[in-house]
Amino acid sequence: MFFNSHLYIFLFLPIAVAGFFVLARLGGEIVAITWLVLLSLVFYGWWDPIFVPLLLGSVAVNYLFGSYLQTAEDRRVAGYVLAIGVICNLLLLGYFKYAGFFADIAGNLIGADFHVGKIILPLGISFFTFQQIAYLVDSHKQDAAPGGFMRYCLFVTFFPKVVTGPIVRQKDMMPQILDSSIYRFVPHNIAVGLGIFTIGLFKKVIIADGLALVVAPAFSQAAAGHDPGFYMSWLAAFAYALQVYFDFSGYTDMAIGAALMFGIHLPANFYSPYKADSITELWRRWHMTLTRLITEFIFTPLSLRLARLSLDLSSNRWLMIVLANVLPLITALAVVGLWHGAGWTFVLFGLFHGVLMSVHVLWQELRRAMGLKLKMPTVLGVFLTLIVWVWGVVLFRAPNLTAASIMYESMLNFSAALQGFDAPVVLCVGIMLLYLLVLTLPNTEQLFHKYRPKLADKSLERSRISLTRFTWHENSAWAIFLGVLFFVAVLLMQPKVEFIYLQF
Amino acid sequence: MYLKIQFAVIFTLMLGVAGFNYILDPYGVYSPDRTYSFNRIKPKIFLKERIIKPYRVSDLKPDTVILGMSAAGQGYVESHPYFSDKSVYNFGIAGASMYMMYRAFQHTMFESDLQNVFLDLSILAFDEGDINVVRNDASLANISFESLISVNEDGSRNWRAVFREITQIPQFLLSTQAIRDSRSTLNRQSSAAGVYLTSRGSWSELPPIAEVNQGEKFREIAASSINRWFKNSSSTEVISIYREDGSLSRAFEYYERLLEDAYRKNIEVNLVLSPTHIYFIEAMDFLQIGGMFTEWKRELVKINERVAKEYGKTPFPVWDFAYFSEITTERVPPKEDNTMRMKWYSDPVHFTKTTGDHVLDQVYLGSDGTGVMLTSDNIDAVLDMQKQKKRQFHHENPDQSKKLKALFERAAMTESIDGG
Repeated sequence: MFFNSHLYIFLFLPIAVAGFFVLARLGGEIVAITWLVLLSLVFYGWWDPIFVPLLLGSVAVNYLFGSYLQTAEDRRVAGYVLAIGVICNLLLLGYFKYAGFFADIAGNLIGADFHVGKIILPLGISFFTFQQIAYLVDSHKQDAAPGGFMRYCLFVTFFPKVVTGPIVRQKDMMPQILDSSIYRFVPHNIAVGLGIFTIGLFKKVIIADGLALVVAPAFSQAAAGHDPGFYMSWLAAFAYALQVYFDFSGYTDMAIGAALMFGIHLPANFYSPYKADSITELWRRWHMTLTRLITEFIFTPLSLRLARLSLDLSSNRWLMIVLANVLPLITALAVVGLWHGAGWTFVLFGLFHGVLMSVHVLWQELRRAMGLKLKMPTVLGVFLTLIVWVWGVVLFRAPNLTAASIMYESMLNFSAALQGFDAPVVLCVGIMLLYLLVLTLPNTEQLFHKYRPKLADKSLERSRISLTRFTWHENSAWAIFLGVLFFVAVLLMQPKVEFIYLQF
Repeated sequence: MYLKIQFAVIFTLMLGVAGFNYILDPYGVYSPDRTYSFNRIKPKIFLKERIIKPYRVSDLKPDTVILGMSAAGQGYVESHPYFSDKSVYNFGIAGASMYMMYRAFQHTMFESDLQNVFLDLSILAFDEGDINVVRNDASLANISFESLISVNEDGSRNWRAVFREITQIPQFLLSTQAIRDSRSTLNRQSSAAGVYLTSRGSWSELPPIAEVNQGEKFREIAASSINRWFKNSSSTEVISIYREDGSLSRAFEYYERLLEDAYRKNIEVNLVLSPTHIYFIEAMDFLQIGGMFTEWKRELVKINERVAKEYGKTPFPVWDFAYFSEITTERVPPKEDNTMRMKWYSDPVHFTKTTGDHVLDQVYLGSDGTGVMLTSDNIDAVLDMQKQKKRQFHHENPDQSKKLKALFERAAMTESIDGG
């Protein structure tokens, strides 16, 4: 069941919301929670019920591990249990997502054929596995909130976020589930939730799905081994950067909006990433819940260990920077790339950004070391950041390295560029206008910032855009505007068009 | 107040659009039995046929069903005398594979007390390369045929179909496509040429277009058939009733399953080899699959008799109309004649309702006709007779055969040039 389907919008979600509050009133919190868990399993099983037992098994096993870790007195044993729990999760993810990829690599290395049969990737496995690994770590730190099995089930399976996030920490969500105020019907939450949901639906249906039509031909040509042409390849790359942003941030808005109808606040996942004036800042604003997790579990521990190592080895400042910053950055971003998919295009996507961020870090250090006051103008920074991002997303979209290399060849074929402009002008103007909107309009978080306590990085709230005129208010004008927006989106909805991030 | 205003805006707009599409009913879903002057002709219904028909079967619960491809949809009408005391529905679907026909059969069987099946068979439905095409066919209306069929392939309940009213109907009422198609319906009523689906599933007779040379059009379609109908849609390979390992295509499994279900449940089935024009048969010979055509006939008979024996029943009759008969050899209007209209055919595959009635008369009413009943006992003799008739036709019409061959050669050449 897709968020952008009539079934979900007109039947599933209204029934889920109404049932939740009616049951909470009639039967109490635990009945309402059970209802939501059951519906979440229906939602998850709608694609393929065969994976519901897998999801439930994962929930049950992690709950047992977590419960033990929260009460374990012997820290050494707890450490082993944590390691086993994490390994179990990684094995599950590894089997379903990476078995074929690594078998191919191993086969190529030793010249053998390790053919792994076709393994169907269960939906959302990357998301619920990472969430539960974080839960185990938090439990080990005695930092998880206790809440009982059904509440834990709801934390993992909660339908607005089970398949594509945002990735929520148990310690952030469980206190909300335990808070009795969420079981009371609050029309204001519905108004705000529906508003955010509508914006997400509009982003997906009108913008992202429309852009897909511009993106697909060039990438299909490249996949078939043909040169899409200089202008068309750039146009497709720019369009895809917008598509993936609107698609995923649209999904996130819909998830956040739907969750808010139940009074549950999910963390923000995007904060105008294309307004970032450096690649480092862009990653702080892009898929924030994943990057925060990777920072906490991979970058920071690795950085600390390597910093200690560099101190042991020498007091050279640059060695320290390379070991404590550059290497962890590249590793963390490679993991981010690999998290998205088992393929070399994703690994290279991650490595490319790791290298870019390392260059940024080294440049900052060099500036500091040389006492340079030189600072790139923000506009130029935003532009350059956008260009390198667009360059990188080609790897993200291309079905394989060959197709990506054909796209890059086309994008670098400047002699073809001189032969005349052959891209449709209307499309180029349309894409430019969309970038203008992305760069100037406030994001959903900013629009609703007065009404939605965020679980986001507060530091991101320093926006360069005045918010006063564009914030949402519970008034007639906004009601009519969002009503019309919702209507238009529903009218243009194509239920079979999946969200890009569903494949991850 | 905010939510009241917002919901009022949403519902008002939606009701407006849904009401417009409901009244215009461009796909004939909501008022198939009543047509008004403003929506009688439904120019966009063709693309939605495979979606509308399962709905209609669920509504009408017919005891008799016609299965087949578009030729069946166009050629057989519910007004035939045999159907007068029956609740019949024409479930013929353009481009249907044998798999799809089996699914349509399963759906009808689930939805109604099915007594009688008329199965119009074409070799095109048995192509191994296209066997799966319909399974994922979302291209025609963003709605998969599969999700509308009440049972899964294994016979279990398809629970998704329970929600089809909710999941699919919004596409008919609340989509920009529906608005466009409603407008198109509104604008096309004054047009002379229009097609619509009758409430019983058959296509309205295509009115002849004045001053259009039917022969030219006929030949054009025949020529293009060697590049279109006889090439499967998933590749450019010529169709084949065999798999790569030489065994029969999976279409025969669905054919067999249909027969098994019918024998088991005492459903009467008449198997008819579609009365395609000889240009269709000549095209197959040109593509060197003429032998496969006769093998196909043999297999249909063999499987039918084997399954009947397994169930201890008399085999269903297999009627062969697909050979060089008086009807199928109907003369195609010459180039210079813009007024001549063919009696039996509208194109090499699609026959007129006159032909349809001729077939139905023979099959159900026992009238004399061109159909030959095939059994394992007579099939060799019948195929020999058919070969003889073919030879005789070639002998009597040497120019026509030569011209047809040249036509196919040109078409093949064009395809190879276009193809690169």
